[in-house]
Amino acid sequence: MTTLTDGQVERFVVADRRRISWARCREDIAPFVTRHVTWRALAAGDIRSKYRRTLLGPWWITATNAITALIMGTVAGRFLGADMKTYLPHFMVSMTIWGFISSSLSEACYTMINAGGMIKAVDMPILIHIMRMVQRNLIIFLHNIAIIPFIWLVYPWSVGFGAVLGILGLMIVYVFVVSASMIVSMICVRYRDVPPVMAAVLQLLFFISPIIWEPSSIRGGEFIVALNPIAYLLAVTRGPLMGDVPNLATWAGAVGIVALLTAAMIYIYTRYRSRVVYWA
Amino acid sequence: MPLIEAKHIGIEFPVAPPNARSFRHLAIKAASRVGGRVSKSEGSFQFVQALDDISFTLNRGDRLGLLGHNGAGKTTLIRVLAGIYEPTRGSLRVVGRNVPMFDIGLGMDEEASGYENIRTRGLILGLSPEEIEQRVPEIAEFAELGDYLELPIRTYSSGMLLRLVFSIAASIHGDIILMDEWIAVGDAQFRKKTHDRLQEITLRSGIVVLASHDHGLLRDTCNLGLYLDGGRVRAFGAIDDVLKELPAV
Repeated sequence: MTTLTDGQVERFVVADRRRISWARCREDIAPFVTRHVTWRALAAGDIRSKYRRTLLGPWWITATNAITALIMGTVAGRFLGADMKTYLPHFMVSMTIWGFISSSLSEACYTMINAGGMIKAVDMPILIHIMRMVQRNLIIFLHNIAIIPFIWLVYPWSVGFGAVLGILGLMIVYVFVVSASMIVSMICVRYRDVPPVMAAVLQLLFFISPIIWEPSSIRGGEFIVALNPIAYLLAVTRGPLMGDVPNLATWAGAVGIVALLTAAMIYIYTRYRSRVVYWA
Repeated sequence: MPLIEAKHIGIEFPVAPPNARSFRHLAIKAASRVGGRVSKSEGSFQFVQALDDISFTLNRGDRLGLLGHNGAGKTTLIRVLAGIYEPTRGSLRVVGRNVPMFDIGLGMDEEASGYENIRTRGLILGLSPEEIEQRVPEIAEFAELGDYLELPIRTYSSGMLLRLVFSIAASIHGDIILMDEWIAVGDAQFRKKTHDRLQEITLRSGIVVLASHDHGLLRDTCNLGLYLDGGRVRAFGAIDDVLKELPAV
């Protein structure tokens, strides 16, 4: 879609989907920038719609997270015999970040499939469906993370200026979630056997990532952490937030993983974007 | 200057996973007059050739009527022109802003109020929140739903819902109107109103493409006709000539 000098829009499509040019690539991914208002407003509407007629509205998300923290801190802590002063903050921060990643990826399996009707009815860039879903999960994440300062008040840990780097880490995680969701979503709409497989993969990732356990507590199998992309993402977000700024190699690892994934996403999107309507 | 230039457009639909194939295959084969031609290509996948070698040019002022049996490819062609399906063969040039007047009720949220649905629908159609706010009074006035717009749309009757949906769709401005069947909604009074509005829109816009089985309507509204049969152009030209090509009922 190009805008002509007299303000008209022109669309020229030639059926040669196998050829990928920079111009086409740019045109396809431009809506990531130009249409952000659309998905932000749609996602905000989704959240409003979900919590309509409830007392707390979206703050229910925060409330349920607070209840989890309370149960973890009072009951489960006794069973595990862990030192809640250090374990509870670790557990809550990890679960909040992992929650954003895993709920986005599991929703991504059905985002394009469920949007099928709309994809066939409206000429809207399909990346908006993904961005809307990720934005929804981001809103949930931000409500979830609101509980963290309260946990800090109860079980304080040392927070320095390094925590600012946590925001950089969260940006890296955001880009990861967008790229991974897009790829997963496009594969799932084409191969309908993938969603259940994806659920199993997410479960596996949950257990092999330092979410409920701390990297320092494992006995053997350290190479799994070194190869696990989720471990890097957690290290650059949870690390700074909890006063443990990771080394440069870890940052490089996280950025490298996300850059590769994003490049793959842009290729897949440009190459197969126009086919999704036939698969949905 | 609105323009539609279609050159040798072809659309192939991949259909049906292998396990559902046999039944579908039989059904389509049995009713050979209905639908496009089913062919087997690209490995084990089956394809329906929904459109095959469609070429035409429309300039400002052209009103094209699409005719043909069910499954002849009318809806598919409308969706290709709307930019939803990219042609798998040929090329398409469209200059001007589309106004899609089909599937206009999609993406409505039952729990949300009429006003909220106007905003959601506007966003989906590509309007900015400011553009939507400008249009809300106009839409509300046309729909004549009054205070009901504050209520969730699940409380609406089907006729009221159609009023809302049509009013939103009709508020979009553009140069190229794409319509899959002339929309007739609501009670007699509103039906008259939609008819008048659609005529106003089609007169104002540069190009109209209307798929319909109503020959009288097509003769009144269109100057050109395109008769599709099994995804191919059977006849293209002045609407009266094309209507003569149709088999007598």
